Amino acid sequence: MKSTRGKAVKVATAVAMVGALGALAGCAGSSSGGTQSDGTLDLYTWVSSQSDRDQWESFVSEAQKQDPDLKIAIDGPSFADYWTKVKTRLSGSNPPCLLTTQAARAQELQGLLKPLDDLIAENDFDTSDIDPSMLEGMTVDGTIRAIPYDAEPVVLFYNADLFKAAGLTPPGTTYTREQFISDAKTLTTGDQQGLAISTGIFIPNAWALADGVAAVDDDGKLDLTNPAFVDEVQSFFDLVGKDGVAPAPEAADGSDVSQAAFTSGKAAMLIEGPWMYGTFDEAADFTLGISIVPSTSGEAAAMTAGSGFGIANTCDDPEAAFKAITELTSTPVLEAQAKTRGIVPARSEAVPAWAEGKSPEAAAVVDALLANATAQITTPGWNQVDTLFTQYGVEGFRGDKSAQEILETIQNSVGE
Amino acid sequence: MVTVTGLGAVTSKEVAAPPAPPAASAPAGKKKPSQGLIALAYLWPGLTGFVFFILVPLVGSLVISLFEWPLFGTPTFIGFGNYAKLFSDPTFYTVLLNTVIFAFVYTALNLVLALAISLWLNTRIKFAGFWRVIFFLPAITPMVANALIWRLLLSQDGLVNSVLAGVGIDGPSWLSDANFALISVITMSVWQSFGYNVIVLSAGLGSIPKEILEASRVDGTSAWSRLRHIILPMLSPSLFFTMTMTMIGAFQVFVQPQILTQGGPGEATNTFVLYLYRNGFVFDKLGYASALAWILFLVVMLITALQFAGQRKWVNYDK
Repeated sequence: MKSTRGKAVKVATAVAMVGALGALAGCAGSSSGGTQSDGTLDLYTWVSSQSDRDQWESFVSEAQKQDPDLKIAIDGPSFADYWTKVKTRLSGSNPPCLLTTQAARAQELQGLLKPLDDLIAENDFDTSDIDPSMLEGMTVDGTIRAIPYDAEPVVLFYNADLFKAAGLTPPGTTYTREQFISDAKTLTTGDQQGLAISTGIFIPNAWALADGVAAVDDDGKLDLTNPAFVDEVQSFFDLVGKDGVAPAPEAADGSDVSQAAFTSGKAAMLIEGPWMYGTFDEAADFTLGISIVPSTSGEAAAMTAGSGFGIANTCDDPEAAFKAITELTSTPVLEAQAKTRGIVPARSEAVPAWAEGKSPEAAAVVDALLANATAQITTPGWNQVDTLFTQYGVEGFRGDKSAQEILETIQNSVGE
Repeated sequence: MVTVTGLGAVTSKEVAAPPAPPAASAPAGKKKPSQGLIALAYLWPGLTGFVFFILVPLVGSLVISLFEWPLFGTPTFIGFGNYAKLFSDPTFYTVLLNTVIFAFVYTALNLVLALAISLWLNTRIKFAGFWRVIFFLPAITPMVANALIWRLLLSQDGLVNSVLAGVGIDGPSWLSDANFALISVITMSVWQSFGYNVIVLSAGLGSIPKEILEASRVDGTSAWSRLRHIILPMLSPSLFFTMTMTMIGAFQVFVQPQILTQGGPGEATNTFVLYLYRNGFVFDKLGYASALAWILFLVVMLITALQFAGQRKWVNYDK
């Protein structure tokens, strides 16, 4: 009986080991693919809602006006899950050919995205009209990994009615930090706050880049502890702790909390991407204004955020995929997207389409910002930076810890 | 009375006595292999599930913990590198300490509250069944929904602080102040789950023979001495079960800090599983996350083993 049990254990162990190794091999291996037999290309992207699906479908239908033979099948998880699932999707069987990425995530997805420089050269693809900051944002190790479709300079939204009621001059294409803090203090009365702030490093990074200070060094390495960046982040924390013009965000608050504070009129200003323009305009029952993110000099300098189309490393027909990207990012397609979806297009030729239906001031602000834009350059471990900044930022806003202490902790934890 | 005592005696013997020899001697040698096959036939459905859903992933995670393993790309074998890195990672010790504090305080509060409520429900109050359902409700509603509601309650200008302001108290930032964040997470977790233990302990209380309690009343015992010398000893198997299960669950706490505080402020509410999850699926460090999982497995196993070792001193299986 004992020997039978011993055998059984041995057999079970062997089965387990074989199964484990098989499973591991399955995980590690990757196959090529991404095009179906009828020439349909698979696009893997974030599809959080019907609105997302509509956007991707309108990209394709607009592109089909240029090339009726173009066939693209859209598939993907929610935005939050996309960044994990795109990696497992490419590890599995029948991986897609076309991918989307944000410029801020291009570093993280570098292993998945094919360098496009050769295809750009072979196809005489004209990049001169594309926003240079976004192309820089899509560049990893000196090679372009995706063609951007939007270039959205982070802006300051304000409640023009509150400015008027307080007797303040609304800001335009210039705005100094000094004036901004003074205005915000005037606008902070009773339950009303001058500014609404959300967690994460995205907005503080835009604040720093408005003064031309980056979170990475010239070699692209994480450099959170450089004194200029520390000062910038500290001045952002001080808006809550010292100047008292905004409530401290809580770590688990999403950006919806600060956005709701702004659209409900509880906060007079909010720093956000211009993609929120349509949503805010619809939700707010006040006159919506936009200005630049305040800088020390008062001059316009923007951090751009945006996304683009790339080709998976595993794609078996990169030529066809690049042809599709060429159509998807062509001027007419981007113009249509700017008109219907409110994106600030990555091609300067298409930018006037965004201004249609908006105030001339808004168009002037976006033009001024795009003229002096820097991409949000990140590092492969940026996710960790953002997560830790969300956790620790709370203590910075409350004044429990200094920007120096917090950024040192994050820099050491990420260890890049 | 006689029947109960008789059964009790049999039960206690079964527990205390060494394994009895088989009633009948084993069948002749010829039948032995076929018996093994029959056993295997009965076992294979369960065994298959165990092997593929428990053993294989377990071995797989052990293998992954020896690699630098991204979600996409080629894994690099680094031996015990992840484990070495883990012991020099200050966050590892912080999340371990947070989790141990959470587990012990949460389990203690949970059991005290559940015991108090079940004793109360056992005092022939009206609508006991209704109250039991009310206390059980949070346990069957989704944790995420509960945590979201608590986040609204505990936020800076939430209901709790509004009520406190009404009586002239300036409430703290429950979720952003490092002094209050962990206790807020524990409070929410206890509220969420004590109802389950109320059900288990109520069942335990219900199985205590009324005759014993009556007899002790006749003998003139006080309520406290009945609780101390009769109810608690007779309830000890249920208490042991709830304690062990609550503790194991507590070490796996994830949703509450994720929804309420994101592990912040700083690392004040970051727990082991939240840290493990983020390393695996946000920071793309599957190897490191697997190493963390194995350390958690060892810690939970050690604490459960200690609980089992300790039970001999206080758990009473006599009826």
